[in-house]
Amino acid sequence: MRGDFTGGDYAIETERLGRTFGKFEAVRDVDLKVTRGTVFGLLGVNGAGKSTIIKMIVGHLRPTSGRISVLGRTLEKDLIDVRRRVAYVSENRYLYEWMTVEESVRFTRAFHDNWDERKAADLLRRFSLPPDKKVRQLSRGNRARLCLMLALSFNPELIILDEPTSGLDPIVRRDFIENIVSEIADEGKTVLFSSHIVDEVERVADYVGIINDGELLLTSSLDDIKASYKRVRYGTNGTRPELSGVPGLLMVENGRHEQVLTVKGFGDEVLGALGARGVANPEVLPISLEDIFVNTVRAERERRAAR
Amino acid sequence: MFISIDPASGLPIYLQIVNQIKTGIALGRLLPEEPLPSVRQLALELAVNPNTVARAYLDLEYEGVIYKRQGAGTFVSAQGVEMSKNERRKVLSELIEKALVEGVNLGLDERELRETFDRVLERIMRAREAEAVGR
Repeated sequence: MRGDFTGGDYAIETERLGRTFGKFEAVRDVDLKVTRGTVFGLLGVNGAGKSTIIKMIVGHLRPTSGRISVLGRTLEKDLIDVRRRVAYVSENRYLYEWMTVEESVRFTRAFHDNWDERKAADLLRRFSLPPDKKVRQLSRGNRARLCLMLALSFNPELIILDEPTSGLDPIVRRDFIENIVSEIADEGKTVLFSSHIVDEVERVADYVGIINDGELLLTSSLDDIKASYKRVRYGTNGTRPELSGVPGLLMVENGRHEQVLTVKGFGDEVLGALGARGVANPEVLPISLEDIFVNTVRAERERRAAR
Repeated sequence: MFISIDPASGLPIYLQIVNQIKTGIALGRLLPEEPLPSVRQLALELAVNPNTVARAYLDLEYEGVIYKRQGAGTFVSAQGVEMSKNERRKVLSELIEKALVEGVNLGLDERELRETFDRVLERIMRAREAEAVGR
């Protein structure tokens, strides 16, 4: 059984990953697969379990159940090797307050034999980080930039970012996104990042996972998600059709002269079902990831409340 | 480039890029044989995943709108949108039908629909002329 779980094609693979804190189940049965060379965005509200999952993947927290493979290795056996090849930038940034920027760079470099001097110098310049300033004197944005700079300078194969832009201003956020984009474009790296900012996930992710109450509700490529979820709008002319039995119906919004449906698994059957109910000229509209996210989480909460 | 991405629109980002490049060609902002930015450049400029830009370029290439020249980059193809006139008309009819149905649902009458159509068409033609003069 053990031999089957190698995680070869995946940069990250988890199997029934779980974590409890006392009686509280923070993460439950998470099967996460992050394909090499892609960007995976983990989307969830604050407290959904994103950070707990990421901490387990980088080996900062032990799972209570399930298995994890990172770059084809297991953490129990090869934690040191994994740490050498994986960059981790978290919300709570690991920096020493009393070091200067330059000292922080030298300190971090000592842990990595694959440190890239040119890239480090380039990033320091690009971020205009003052070498002599103490970490404690840096602005929030510059601390974040320093963390990103340290993480990218040892040429990691996998970059893991936990709410990297949380609390940062739009300019620093743009810095982060642009640098992540250039890492992917230039070197085909794998990126896993968590965020509650949907816009960010939508811009850079190839794959999306929606986390709610410690469970992975949905994981798919962004394109597939967008092909599956649609809005259908039509004029009602006073009489609203009877909608029971329309496949995949998630939500109905009633306007004065129109009705808008949100549908999962959109296809010809949906249009056929609407036609049979007398709907004329329905218009099929795309739906934003934000709406998909909200609808998925809401539907799950209603499902649980009904239990 | 003139492309702007709206993640909240719901339309997949690669399609937004495809549509805007096609519109750019239709409006004469992009001319045949004009070079397009590299995948990396455009991804950085728009702050989107380079795979997304690559996919948009692949779609456009497949449709014959753009072409790659080995080592030189990507260009707008001479034929522009390589669709026969009939096909173009068909695509256009579908789009206009959608817009007109919308207009009818909004309660506009035939005269108002015609006027709106003419006004929009005139604005596009003006923009096209302005682009041509500006070059």
